[in-house]
Amino acid sequence: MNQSRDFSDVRTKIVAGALGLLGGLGAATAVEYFTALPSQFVPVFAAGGAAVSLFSLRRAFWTEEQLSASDLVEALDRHSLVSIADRNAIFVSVNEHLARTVGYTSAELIGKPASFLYEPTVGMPTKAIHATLARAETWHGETTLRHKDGHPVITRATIRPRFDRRGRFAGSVSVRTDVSDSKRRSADAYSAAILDGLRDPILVFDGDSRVLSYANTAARDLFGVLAAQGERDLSERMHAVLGDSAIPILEVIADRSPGAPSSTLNTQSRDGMQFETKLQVIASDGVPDRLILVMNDVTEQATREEAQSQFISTVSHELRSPLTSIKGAMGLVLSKAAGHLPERAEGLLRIAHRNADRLVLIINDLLDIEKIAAGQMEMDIQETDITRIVTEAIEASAVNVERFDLSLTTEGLDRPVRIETDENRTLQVLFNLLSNAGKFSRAGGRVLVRLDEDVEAVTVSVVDEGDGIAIEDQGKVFQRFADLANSKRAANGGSGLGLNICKAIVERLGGSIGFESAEGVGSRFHFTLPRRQAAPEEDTWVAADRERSVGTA
Amino acid sequence: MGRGRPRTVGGDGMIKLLHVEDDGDIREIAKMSLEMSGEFDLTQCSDGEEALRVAPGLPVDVLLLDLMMPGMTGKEVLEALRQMPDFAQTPAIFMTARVQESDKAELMSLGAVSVIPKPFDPMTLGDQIKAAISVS
Repeated sequence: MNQSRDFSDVRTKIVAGALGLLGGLGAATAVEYFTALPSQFVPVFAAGGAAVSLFSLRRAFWTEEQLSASDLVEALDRHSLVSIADRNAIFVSVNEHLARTVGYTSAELIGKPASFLYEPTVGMPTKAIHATLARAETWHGETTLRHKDGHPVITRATIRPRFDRRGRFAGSVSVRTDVSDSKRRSADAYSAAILDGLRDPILVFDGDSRVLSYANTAARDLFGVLAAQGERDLSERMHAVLGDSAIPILEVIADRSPGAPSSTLNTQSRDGMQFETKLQVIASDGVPDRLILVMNDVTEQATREEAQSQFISTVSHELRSPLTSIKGAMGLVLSKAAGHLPERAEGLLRIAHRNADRLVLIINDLLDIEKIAAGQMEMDIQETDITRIVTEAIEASAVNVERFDLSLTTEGLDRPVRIETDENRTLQVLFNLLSNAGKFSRAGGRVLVRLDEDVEAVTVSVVDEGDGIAIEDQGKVFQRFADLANSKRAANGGSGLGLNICKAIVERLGGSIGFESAEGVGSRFHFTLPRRQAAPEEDTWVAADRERSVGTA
Repeated sequence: MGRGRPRTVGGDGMIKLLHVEDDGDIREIAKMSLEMSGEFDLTQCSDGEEALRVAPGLPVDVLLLDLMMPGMTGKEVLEALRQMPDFAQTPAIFMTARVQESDKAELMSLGAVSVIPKPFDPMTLGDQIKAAISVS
């Protein structure tokens, strides 16, 4: 531009004219003169007319420049998506660029209503456009069109009304610029800014080439600078930071087979950080597939779990040691090891001894609850004869049977029944049910232990003729401290955790536990265990996650 | 109680037992319990270092080791004793307040013949020990 001359007025006109032309103003004006032409030529000539207007303005300014009108027409035609609609908003003309951008041919679009191209999921400002055109004004704004294959095409549009020679509304001319790419880039930049703020390392790969396209700040901190590296470089960096943990991750990244499920991996860095690494291919309309890798830092969580486990162990030791002495000393005194006791002293000591037993039971139950909550209840699965376990439980309950003067009968224990289970935990469940049956029976009552089997499973029932459970209490039988208000438990001893633990054990063994009870008639508690245990189960959330990702793949 | 000095009770023809336990009260109860049965010749130590000091030359039929002790754990005491020719094969019984199945399996793999959980029953402790060594 020549700075020695003052062209402020001319320049304003030129700038306004040029902007208007590019936006379609000039084109629309020009179109008035070409309405008699075949429709497919209209946009070209519209643009051409605009170019001529511009050309004449420019000639006033840059007289020395050589500028061909056809060059301008072609440049504008290539730049813009141009369409002309009649008074009913039916396309009468579209340029090639528009047709190509939305995946149709010009012929396919002509005769269609303009709304045919509108993306239905995005609110179109149709009313505002109509209102603006009705006022004989030009509308500027963003519109979202729909490509033939369904993906959205975001455009910046200028729509101007056109009028016939008598000044009647004749339709509209629209000139658009496809801004989808820049929209996506700014959306990407926005996403990147958010991801950069997260503490978990995140890597994004192109879905097809598996070239790294993005690493957030946490990932750059963890792996060092990652900028458009080759695969080998990434592999080296991952190995350097993660050691052998990098191998399964790199395998998933390299696996380009379609429909490969998402993966969740436990990853440990060489310096002791622990991650739960998730990899998933994300597909969405109009955007190439991407592989997202998120490394959820679970170091703190793992440390906390370790501390909790340590706590359980410590509590276990610290509480049991004094109890060992208390119980042991009382047991020895009661055995007359230290000489004869006055009768009343012995009675009091028996109460103390029984309650020390109860304290041990409560500690054991609390530790079990902690183990269950921490997912640390181990199961030692062996093939075994469950009738032997039932018999053992009955023998261990002999004290209760005697104490409550019960008559105990059994059914179904006459021949071995083999199942895969944890013997001690199964014994614990049975002992608990038998102990409850004893506690809640009336003196002299009957208790039946019955075993039923089928091909898949074994069911053990413990039936008593006790007080039964009130309807209103039945819903909370398996809850912790469910019978806290029940004076009978307090009288008979028990932690209030037993059935909750039984339920956890039975479910951990892949079985189920339930009961039927009628007040004043008695209760039947029963549990069913599968004969065969499934292969060691993976963490349930991993399985759930896999299900989810398969569902969405 | 002679802390730092091993105590031996009983006489010849009896089961010679080396008991390592840091808790003095529990040592006392175990001693009374085993004295009652009249079949044990008991040497007691309050920690692993003391046990390793008195063990050489001591005739021992069975080891009774507390698992969690300050200083050397029961497991470390057994590992150290196993280095001594006299104790390479001696049956070992652990006493522990920790009763995870995996712990038990680990102890059994070290050559323990039994794991007695705490609190133990003083009335049957002697029988439990005899049962464990007769099985082994």
